[in-house]
Amino acid sequence: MDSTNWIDRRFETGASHLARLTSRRSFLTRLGTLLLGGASIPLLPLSRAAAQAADAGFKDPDIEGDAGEPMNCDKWRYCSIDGFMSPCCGGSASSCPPGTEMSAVTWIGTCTNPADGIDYLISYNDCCGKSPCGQCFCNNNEDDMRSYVTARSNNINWCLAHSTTAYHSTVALVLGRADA
Amino acid sequence: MISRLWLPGILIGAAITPGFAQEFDSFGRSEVLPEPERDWVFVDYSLVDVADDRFLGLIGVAETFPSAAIEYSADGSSLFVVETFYTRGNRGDRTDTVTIFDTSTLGVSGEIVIPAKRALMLAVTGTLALTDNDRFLAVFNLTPATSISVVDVETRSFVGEISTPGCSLVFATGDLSYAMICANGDLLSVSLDENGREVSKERTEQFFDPEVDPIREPGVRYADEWLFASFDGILHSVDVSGSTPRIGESWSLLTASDRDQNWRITGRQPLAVHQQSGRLYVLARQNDEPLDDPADWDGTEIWSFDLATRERVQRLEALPESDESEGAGAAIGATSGDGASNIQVTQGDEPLLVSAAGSGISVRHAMTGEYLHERLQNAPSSGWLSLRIR
Repeated sequence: MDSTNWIDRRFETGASHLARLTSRRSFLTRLGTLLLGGASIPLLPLSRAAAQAADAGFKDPDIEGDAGEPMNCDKWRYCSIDGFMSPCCGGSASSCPPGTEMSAVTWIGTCTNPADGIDYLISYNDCCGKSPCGQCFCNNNEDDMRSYVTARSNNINWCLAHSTTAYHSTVALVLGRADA
Repeated sequence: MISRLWLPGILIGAAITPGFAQEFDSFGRSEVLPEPERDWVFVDYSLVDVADDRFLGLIGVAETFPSAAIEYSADGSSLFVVETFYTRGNRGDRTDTVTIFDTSTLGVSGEIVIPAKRALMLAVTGTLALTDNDRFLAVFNLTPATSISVVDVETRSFVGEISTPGCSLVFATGDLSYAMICANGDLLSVSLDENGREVSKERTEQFFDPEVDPIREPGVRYADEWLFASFDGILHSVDVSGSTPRIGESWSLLTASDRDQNWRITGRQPLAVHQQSGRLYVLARQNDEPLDDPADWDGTEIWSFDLATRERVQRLEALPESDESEGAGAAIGATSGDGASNIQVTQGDEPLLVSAAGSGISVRHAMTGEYLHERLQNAPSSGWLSLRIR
């Protein structure tokens, strides 16, 4: 799916749906080639290794329709994503595109899996080190907090603690059950 | 026949009559800005005379991030912007600077290297703050640990870093103090000594619930108060006249009737204050559902309030950016496109209300709402609006 079609489809869904298209987009616009250097990481909301390990043990069930389509903004695990979807950029929902590195810190959302009705914790790690992918922008930040609640805000470049630091795209890792 | 042959010669002769000296352009001349006027407004880094519809110049920033905050030296001769550089363009070693620009040329006149920690985020307001005595600049850092870097603009030197755990963004609150917004809905008050070193840090009472009705970052200073609008249209005030901030009374910008009609306070830069009259200008729109982020939704109207009486005194239509606008989500960076995203008001006796949409800037007399320019022709199409003279 190309981004134009995606945008068209988004517009067909009406104003209430559009309300979910929020500020990460503008952040990316301003981002350009903006970067952050290799700062220290004193407080990790989540370690990258832990996130990857969690997702490796999760089997995404077959879901018919948009909610199961990796390159669709309505895929269930993208409910709080805010960025270019990694599968449209050469990666997958749980892996970064070639030559980019997954951010070590990130923001976390909770999404309901329609296959089993269970809420899962989702980690929206940015893929860092190259300029913005520009494909399949998706912004469903339902529980986004203001930037002074930093660990839950997507108005921040989450490549910020990385050595190669340009924002490229975003993955959605399933960490586990929200009620676990 | 003879007259036709002679005519050009006569005309040339007239052009070189004795006493007339043709002046030729000299090479290498650059303009210098005259004394600034109240009608000068920065649109991001572009300086525009919004009364005369004239582009005056561009701050010579090097980085691509377009909406950094601007502060000025006490004598008005310099302005300060924070920049981030990498040795290899988009990679390599990082250097952050407070870059000093000459306000008469908007060119670089100096720099102060600060720790490479400055926050790179959407917020403009709160990323840079100059104490009220015009001496110490604070730069908000996010690594993701939060802190501020303090810079002495008089000696042009980095003073030190102050850790501010749990608290973000920075606002000047006095000659030697700042306030920061904390994640649990209170403020951190940071006091400095006369050398810019930390004296104390103190938390205020909680005045909003970030989970229920968060305040939005772009606050505005009104004399000794900071004003912040919440998602739900509540105006919070913080009195900074004393040694520590005091939380003022909050009140609703929306009447019961407004709420019934689903009016909401929106826009990237939703508030502006005319200090002299005490009028607060606010961007508002109707939307059936609460907005996850009001910043992406233009105000279709600009309301003004008398801050003394809390009465709404004006309702103005905000010009949409264009008929062709496809709205929020049509492109990265697009707002809803049906109104204005940023507002600002110039100060003094004859204030101008400036509003920016995605493809044009409107200027009108702030007190009457009468248009001076429906659309500026010689200005950027949109951007963060900062006053040259506050």
